[in-house]
Amino acid sequence: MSFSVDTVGLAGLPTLLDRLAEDARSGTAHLDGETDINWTGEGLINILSGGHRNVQDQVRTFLQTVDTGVASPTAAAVRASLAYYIDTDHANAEALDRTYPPVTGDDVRQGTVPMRPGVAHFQDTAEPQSRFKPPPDYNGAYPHEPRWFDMVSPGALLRDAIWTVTGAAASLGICDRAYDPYEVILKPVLGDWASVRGCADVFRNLADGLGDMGTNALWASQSTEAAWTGQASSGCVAHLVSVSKELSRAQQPLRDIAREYEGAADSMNELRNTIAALLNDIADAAIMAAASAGVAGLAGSTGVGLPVALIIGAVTLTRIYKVVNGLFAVFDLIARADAAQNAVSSAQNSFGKIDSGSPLPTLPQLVPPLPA
Amino acid sequence: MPAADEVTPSDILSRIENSPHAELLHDEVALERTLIELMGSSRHPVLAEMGRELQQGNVSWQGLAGIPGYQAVLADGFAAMQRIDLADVAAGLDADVAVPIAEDDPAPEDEEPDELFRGLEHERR
Repeated sequence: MSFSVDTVGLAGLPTLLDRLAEDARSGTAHLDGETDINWTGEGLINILSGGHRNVQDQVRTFLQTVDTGVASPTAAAVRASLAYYIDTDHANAEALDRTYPPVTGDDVRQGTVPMRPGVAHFQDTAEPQSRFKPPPDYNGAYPHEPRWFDMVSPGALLRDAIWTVTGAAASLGICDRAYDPYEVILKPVLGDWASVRGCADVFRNLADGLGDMGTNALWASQSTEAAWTGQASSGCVAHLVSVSKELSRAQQPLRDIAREYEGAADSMNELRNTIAALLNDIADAAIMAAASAGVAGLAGSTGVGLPVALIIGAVTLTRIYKVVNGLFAVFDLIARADAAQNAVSSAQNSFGKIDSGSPLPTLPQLVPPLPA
Repeated sequence: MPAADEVTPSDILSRIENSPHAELLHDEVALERTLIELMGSSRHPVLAEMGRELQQGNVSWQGLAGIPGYQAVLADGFAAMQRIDLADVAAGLDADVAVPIAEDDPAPEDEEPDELFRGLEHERR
């Protein structure tokens, strides 16, 4: 492999790598600025908090490695080589080049497709930073409080009604204790699910941005081959292709985790809607229980048409059962949602699919030996 | 575990199941209609008004709870619920609605009539 270098042309490489570092920093800023979740409260959402920090940490570390572990040191090494080539003659440079280990291009480029991007060498083929747009405001679609919040919030008559009816049920042996729907139904589903949904967009944005960075790095490798040949160049090109591949590979785990976040937020919305329907039936049954007990209590003096015992047995008692059965149906749903959020948490901790795991790839941090 | 002579909610439902009023345990619509009629025919003016409003579709069950004038009646109902004595209810059913079953009559085939009995799974759990 003969040695040649176009120092004017090759000067575009460190500049491109500077932009790659800047893109990675922009991605980190996008991550830090848009993936905060409000963890206050006691909802199921808190199951995700530890895993979320893990996801943030891994993505941040990856992006910082692109910046300070790959792009910046590679740019510095290429700048040092350029300075050497400018200060030395061709014969000395060629002699030095023969001392570097050659890397076969075909092996390095396996799995990549040569690019014809239609831009000049060392220009960016894509703009990663244009991907890092803030997610839309999801508070309307994924509100902090469900739309039935007022039914069972503190001070709501229905909250007291369910508490009273389940208290009566407990004294009749129908259930174990009185239940406060604010504690057992409302609190678990409160939370900043809008931000969870927003995180899904951010992780997809980052996947798109990393894909763009990967194509820019691949174009950098092809541009380098046009400006610089020889054994040192082959090591640099191999390094750039490897970086490009790992940046591209990082997309899938980010898309996997984005799907987990979106699914978690959507399933919470579905749970809230299902609870809404059950809560309507529970509320009606609680009021009917009170009305029938009121009718029965007055029956002796008002002469209604059914025996008191039948009113209590057929109406009051069955409505109490309906309240209790409805509540336990809600508890079952919440228990299932709890399990589902724990599964998401597992995915967060393995950063990707629960079964196989798909961690972010390891970037080649060792800058190849280059003339300096 | 209830004492041997203690009346349980399922005892009450079984008594109704074996009475001419068993339909009330199986027909939610009939049960609601019956309750509304009972309220509407009450000589208690507020209860009767609540029944009429329900009958005319002017208010829902939950809507009743939001009307200040009705809340005292419902509160009385919730209080009455706390005082339910199953032994008294059983005695009332035996006296007023039970159909005596002859000793050689076969047991009713449908001993677990409907969803209401599913609630028994939660007893004292």
